Amino acid sequence: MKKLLWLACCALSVVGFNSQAKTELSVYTYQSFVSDWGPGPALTKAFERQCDCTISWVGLDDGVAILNRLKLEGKRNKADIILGLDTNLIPEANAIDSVQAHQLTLPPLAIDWQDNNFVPFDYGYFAFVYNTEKLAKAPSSMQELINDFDGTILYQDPRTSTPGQGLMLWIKALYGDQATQAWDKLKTKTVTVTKGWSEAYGMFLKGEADLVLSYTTSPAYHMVAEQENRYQAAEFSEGHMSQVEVAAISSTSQNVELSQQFLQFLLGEEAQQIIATSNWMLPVNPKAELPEAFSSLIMPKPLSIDNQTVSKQRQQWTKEWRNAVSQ
Amino acid sequence: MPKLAALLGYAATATIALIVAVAFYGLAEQAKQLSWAAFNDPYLWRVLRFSLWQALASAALACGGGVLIARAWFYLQPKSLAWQLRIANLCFVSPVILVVLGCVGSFGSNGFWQQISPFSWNIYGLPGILIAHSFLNMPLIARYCYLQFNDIPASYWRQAKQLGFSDLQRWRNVEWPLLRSRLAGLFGLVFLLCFGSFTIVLALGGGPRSTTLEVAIYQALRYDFDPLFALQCALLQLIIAASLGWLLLGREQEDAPRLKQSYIEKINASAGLCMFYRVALSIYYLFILSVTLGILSPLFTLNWHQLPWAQWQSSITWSLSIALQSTLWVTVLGFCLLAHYAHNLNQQRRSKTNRIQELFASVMLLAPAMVITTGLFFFLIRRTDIAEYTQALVALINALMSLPFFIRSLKPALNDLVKQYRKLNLSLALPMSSQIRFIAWPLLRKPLSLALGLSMVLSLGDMGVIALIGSVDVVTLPLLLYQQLGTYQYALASATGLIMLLLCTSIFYLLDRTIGRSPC
Repeated sequence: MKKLLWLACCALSVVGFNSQAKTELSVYTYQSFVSDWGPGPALTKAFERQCDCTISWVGLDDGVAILNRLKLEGKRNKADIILGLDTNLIPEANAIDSVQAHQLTLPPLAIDWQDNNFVPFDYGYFAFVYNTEKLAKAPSSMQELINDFDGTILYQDPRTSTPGQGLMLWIKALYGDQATQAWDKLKTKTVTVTKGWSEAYGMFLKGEADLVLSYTTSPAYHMVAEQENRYQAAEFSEGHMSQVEVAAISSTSQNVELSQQFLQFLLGEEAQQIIATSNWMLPVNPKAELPEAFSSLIMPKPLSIDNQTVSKQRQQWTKEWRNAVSQ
Repeated sequence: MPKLAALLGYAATATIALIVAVAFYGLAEQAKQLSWAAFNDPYLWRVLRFSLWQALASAALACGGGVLIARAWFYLQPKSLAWQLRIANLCFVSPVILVVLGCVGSFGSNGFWQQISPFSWNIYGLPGILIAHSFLNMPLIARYCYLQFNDIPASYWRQAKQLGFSDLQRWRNVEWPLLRSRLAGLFGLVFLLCFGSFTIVLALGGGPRSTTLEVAIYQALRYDFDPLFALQCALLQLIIAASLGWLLLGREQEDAPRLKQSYIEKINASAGLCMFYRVALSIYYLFILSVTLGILSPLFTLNWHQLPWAQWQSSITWSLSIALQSTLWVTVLGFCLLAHYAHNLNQQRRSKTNRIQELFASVMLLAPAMVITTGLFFFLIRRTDIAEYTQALVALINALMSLPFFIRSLKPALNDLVKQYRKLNLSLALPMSSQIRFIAWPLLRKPLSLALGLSMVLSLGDMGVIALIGSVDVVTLPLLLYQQLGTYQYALASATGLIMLLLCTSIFYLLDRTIGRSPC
């Protein structure tokens, strides 16, 4: 009798468990990733087909804002996955203990990758994008942009967005101690500094400025989605700062297995294709098929600063930028 | 019974004091890392300079324009005057984010002014900030100064006429001396309000170049995660606001001037002057109208088939729930303070506690909301999950913010009540319940409905507090509107603005129909 009762209890609890809602995978990311035109909706569909779960996206302003949010919330964050930091932010994210090792075997990748916590999900090069019908000749170097260009530019706040931070590092890599003077000159051409990428790009498309800081891959969007060739990226002779966007499992996650499954999915061909053609970056999985337009993009000389230097200097450099542009 | 009133008053004061103390404790805890060297930051001083400069310019614009409009109203006595005065009040209490939307809608690069003008300009930065501040404050100053003009005795005007004063002489010898002292207080108040301006500067500032201390606090916590810098800004903000507030508070007259139906000597201003005033008034009306239309004009491009109903629904729920909680708080705190005040008044006592309580009631003018919020934020972040308390916290701080307005709208009626009915009450020896029911309630219901409406709308439209401590889940209507503005979805922002406008109007309407309805 006792055994029967025990069995009944078990059965009931199983029924109870099943009737509960599906597991929720909470992903902290940046706003444009989950917007209607971003990869979010398509990835949700594709992943929810293969898991017994629902994805709940939390779209924060931009890349750096995700890290700020994690610092703010500490161990109380509700994230399973942190998606959308870039390699420059990895040391800081590790320093606050916000992520855990993914323990996955990664497929062969298009870029060189060694990291126990983070997996890359796309990469690209920052570039200034312009409208060829409005601007006959874009600057061909950072030097020209800073000194001779007499049009207007839009870029993002390095305190909240990874492209803005990318420009900051780009200027720093090229000008070092002279960065303040460079910002000083750029300031006079700046229409406004936006919080995130989508704001700046939206303003640019409305014709508010001649150049906008974006990616070398942005023109592919216009070519594929709009059959529009007039938007092009300006190739700078000094080289372009590169960016690798990464994802990791939060150290507070209760759904580690599901999170691992998600990361694995993120690197798969299907997800990589979705990301390339809706986040408009280059896929890290070389097997992902790309539309024709991608082959017409400029392939700039890559520039980078090593992560450790960035993480040590980032706050200082941000202050330097803030002081230069607030004058 | 009288003891109870005093007890309630003390309890309310203690509650407010406790909240302020906790906030300051939170700041002090963080301040351990503070050193003098930290203040050697050029950015900090630049932010301070800009805060002061934009507040000064805004206050000067509002006061200069306000006096001009008041004078024009007074000399021309337009037919729509009663309406104009009412609208002036509405401008001041309109949710700030709506004003931002209106400015962008009419003066922004897609606004109709830039479309018909041969020039183009950038609204982001000082111009936008000044336009929005003028819309909020200029009508208020105009209204107050107009009432002040009415307070000038008719004999003065007659004398001026007899002496054959020119326009300039009249201004120098009659109007200015009487306006001066009042205007100084108003200038200070507008300066203080603009100095602590958050939403406008955040939305229209456009980068680190035009940042105020309040926005810098927000950015330091949300962008850089630099608590030290936030603390520095909060301290500077506190020092300046508190010293200015201390100077201002208590200097104002007991009662604001009210519209009198006294005989106003017709002043025969010259035709040229009248023309000048007509032009000035037309520009002013056009300005108010264009900001108002700017809120709705982007609606024409709205895609009516794809509307974010779910988002709206959750935002409305959040906003209303916070506004209701906040109004509940403000009512409880306000009535406790007022009970004590009335009790003292009844005893014909003007005690020191009254003055102290008044200071506590206006605590948000002395220690700005952002400072209190930052303090509470620091206090809670070390101890608990701040996201769980977002609603209650925002409601509480909003309540403290609207407390001065709540009390100020009820005080004149309360003063009348005590003055007129004290003796009757004493002679009839009515029990407290009947006193409240038959004497106080009919007199107070109208101002009460206004005070309630005001605090609800203030809380509904507030974006500062929720922006700083809100979690991702709590998106109130103003925050949603700000997000839509920030991503340049003007049409959607406009629709959200329309919803806000409708909500605010229905709140006032409903309160007026239920509580405010005259008894007869």
